[in-house]
Amino acid sequence: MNKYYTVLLVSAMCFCNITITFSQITITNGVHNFEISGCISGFYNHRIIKPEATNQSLNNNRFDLRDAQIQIEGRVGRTWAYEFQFDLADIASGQSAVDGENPGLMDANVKYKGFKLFDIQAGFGKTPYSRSSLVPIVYSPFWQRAQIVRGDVFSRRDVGVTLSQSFWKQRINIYGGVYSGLGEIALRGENDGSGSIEYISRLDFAYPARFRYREIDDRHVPIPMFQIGINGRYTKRNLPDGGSFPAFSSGEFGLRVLDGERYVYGFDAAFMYKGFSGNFEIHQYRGQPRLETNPLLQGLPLEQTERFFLAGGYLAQMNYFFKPWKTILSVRYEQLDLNDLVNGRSERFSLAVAYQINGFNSMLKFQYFNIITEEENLDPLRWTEQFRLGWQFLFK
Amino acid sequence: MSFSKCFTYFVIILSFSSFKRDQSPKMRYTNWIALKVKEPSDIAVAPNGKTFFVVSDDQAAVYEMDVAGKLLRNSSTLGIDLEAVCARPDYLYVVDETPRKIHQLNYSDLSVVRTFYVPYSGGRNKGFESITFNEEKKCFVLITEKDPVYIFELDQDFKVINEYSWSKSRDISAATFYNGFVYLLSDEDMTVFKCNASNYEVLEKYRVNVHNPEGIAIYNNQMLLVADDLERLYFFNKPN
Repeated sequence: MNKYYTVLLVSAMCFCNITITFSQITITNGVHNFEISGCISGFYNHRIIKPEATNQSLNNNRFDLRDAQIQIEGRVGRTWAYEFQFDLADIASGQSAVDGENPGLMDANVKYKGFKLFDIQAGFGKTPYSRSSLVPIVYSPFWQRAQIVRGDVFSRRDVGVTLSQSFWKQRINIYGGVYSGLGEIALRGENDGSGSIEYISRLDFAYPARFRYREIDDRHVPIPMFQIGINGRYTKRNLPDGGSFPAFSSGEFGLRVLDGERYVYGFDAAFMYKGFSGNFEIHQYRGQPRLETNPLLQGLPLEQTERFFLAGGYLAQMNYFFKPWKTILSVRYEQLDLNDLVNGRSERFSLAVAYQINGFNSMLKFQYFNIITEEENLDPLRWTEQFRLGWQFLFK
Repeated sequence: MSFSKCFTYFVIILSFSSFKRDQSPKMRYTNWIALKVKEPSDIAVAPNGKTFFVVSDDQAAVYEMDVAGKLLRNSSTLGIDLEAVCARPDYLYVVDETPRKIHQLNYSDLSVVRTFYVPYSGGRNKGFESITFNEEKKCFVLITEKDPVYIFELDQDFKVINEYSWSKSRDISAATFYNGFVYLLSDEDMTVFKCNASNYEVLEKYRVNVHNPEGIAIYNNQMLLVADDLERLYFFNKPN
């Protein structure tokens, strides 16, 4: 029966809204401009479950509403801006854990652009770390981000203050900020017993013109453009004896917050030219737990661990936009090692095809996932392949 | 689900595509100069026929310059988000996209004489990005950038008197009237459209090899395009 649903879904989407254009709604009094935009997206997911897996119907095929987002953005004159964005699909899911890739509250922040030296933003939103994380998923043909930037290794959003400035016709961008360090969980209440914060900074450089945080060259730019960036984050959260982190703040792999000292640093590069585009990103995580008995040290002796462990990985993605066909084709390879003290690492390959009915505002997206290898000790999976087909609709 | 089935779905999707390849002629610029204006978003030839007015999105001001790009004078800060300029014999008109305002400036000191408000509820950054005066129909023309592109005709007091919808390109970032025709520039498609001035039907179109073109003017048998991101003024031979 599933295949009939899929055919029905594809057909319905192809016939929907082929010529209608969509846009957000703006209200203005001449100084204060207030706009409302949003996004609805959903997909059908099909998984190939391992034959040896018990309970074959668990985590199997499903329909899912990925996004039901409302975004409110305001500008007051030339100096003030605010943004409020939330996703009802995640709020309605009622899950206790927060999905770092797709949380319920996405943005709630205010920005002041009246200083000469820097702009200042305060509130909750994306942290300036990882170019791939900064690209809105609605401008990607993929349904899911690469594992390392999904929010399971480091948080993608947090509460804090960000200073930023651009130079040389916006080719150079610098960001620096202080944040709670608890990521999306920070919204649930108090800090942990360490009372610490996290420091994050990013520098990127583009040439020969400014390079927006996009991964698809849908314009077929006539000049080769590239961007490189470096970013880092640091926090030291020594819990008092008997203390613990707020529930769910550690994430799926226990890496998002660490009782001890943590450095994460990364490099990224992107290019675009005549429809071709590519991006590469690499991250290294160094964790130094406060206690030798921290489970992340795997119970190994101090002589072997020297009381630290490494995690990290990279992703490499290539894209082409077939302009006459209004179609994006992307391939991505990614690698992730969750802990160097444990043998193994995961490798994944993904293929994505997106057909633009009306640009990114109405787009059919298909993603094929292939698990090449998995890190069986730390992240065992029940499936080997996954197919995801759906539609995104934006009024943006 | 096998991979072949997925491929079949992919073919179904593509079958809804037009598969048309753009065969319009491609124009190459003959020269370019760097502008000393941050984020230039449009250009207009001054009534004296010798100088140009360029609006800066970043500075929210209008600059007068000569053909070599030398800045001669500039206005004070005029608004929030200046995106288009039109030079008429009596006044200069500047579009402030975000608050949907048109500022009428005198030439003597580039001060605001009058401000018109033209309501439009579309995207904040997808409002009026083009302005020109249609000499054939004796009306102003304001064009929304995208999602959707609307061509509005307005009287001397900027009251809307007619509208057309446009679907020949993904966006329109600038417009100019020259020799009986309206020329429209698409930034995202990097294309110039030569249109019938009475109904905006496309007569010719030309692809231009310029990244992020945001402004257009025709001067002395040359077509000038302003590129926002690169802050450059490109010179082309005027299309036929």
